[in-house]
Amino acid sequence: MNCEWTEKVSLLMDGELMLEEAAKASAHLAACETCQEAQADFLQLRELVQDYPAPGLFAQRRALASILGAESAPERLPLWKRRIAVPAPIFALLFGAVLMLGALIVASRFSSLPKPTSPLQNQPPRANVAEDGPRSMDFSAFDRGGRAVIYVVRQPPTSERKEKP
Amino acid sequence: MTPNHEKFATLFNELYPKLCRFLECMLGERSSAQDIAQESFLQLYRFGTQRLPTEEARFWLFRVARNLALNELSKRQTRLKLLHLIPDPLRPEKPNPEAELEHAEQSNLLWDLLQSLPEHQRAILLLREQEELSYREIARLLDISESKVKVDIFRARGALREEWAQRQGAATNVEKHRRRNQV
Repeated sequence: MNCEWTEKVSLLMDGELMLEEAAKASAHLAACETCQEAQADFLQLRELVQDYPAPGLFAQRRALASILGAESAPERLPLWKRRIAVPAPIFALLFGAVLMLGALIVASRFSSLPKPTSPLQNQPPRANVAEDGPRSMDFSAFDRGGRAVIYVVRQPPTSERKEKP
Repeated sequence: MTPNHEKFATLFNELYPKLCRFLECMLGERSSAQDIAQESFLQLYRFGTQRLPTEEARFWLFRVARNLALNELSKRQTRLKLLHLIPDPLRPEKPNPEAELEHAEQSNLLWDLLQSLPEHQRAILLLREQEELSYREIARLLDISESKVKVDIFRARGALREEWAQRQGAATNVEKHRRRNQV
């Protein structure tokens, strides 16, 4: 049960009243049992709150070490951001090896392609027309050196051609 | 230790116990309170202790800690609501054995009394009684009016007084019942 002055008593406890108001509240408090009981309870609760223990020194030191340690450590970057430091000569060797490998792969691909074939390519060179006879005309007798063999074809005279069946 | 670290360590050693005590009374639990206190100091360290004089740092810390504590209390309420949605057979029997043991060990009357107050009244009362801040300082720290501080402190004291009387009354009844049975 509260008196209408109980709130003033609460303010008086906290030193939040002006001098004149504080004097009036103190005068009322001296005469009012309800306000005296309220003030006693308020003060006991204050003592209960103020007596609550603070954490121990061990927890305090551990917390401080944790904060300073976390902030002093260098920031660890994620893997994809980390630069992998490679000495320059090793890097040059690696780069050269990669280039060579690439060149080999390209060269092997080209060598495996089927070569264009010519109907004349696999045939043995023909012999000279002088051995085969006068009627052969064979222009496949380019020799391997690429030299053309010139054939001279001699036609019999007209009279001889008519006589033959 | 660098000069910056030294200044921070001095501030830490002065304010950490007070901040922890405030947070434990706000949350009713030690482990969360220490976590939040550490987080508050970490934020201060990153902000830079050289930017703030000591008194301002104190205000800054308590403001940050109180906001973090309110977030934690809000999360707990959400967890409780979700827990109630779980059917009884599936509900875990002991959600946090460590917290239960801690509470059992402490069994602190003050925690029980303070938990009966709304969070804003609890914070105001603790800042007044533990940190001995004036109404103006409390209003500035919590960004509220001085008249609200006056009203809330009186209401908090009244509510605590009633709660305490009920508990004492219940304890007295239990004692009377025990003595009657003995006779």
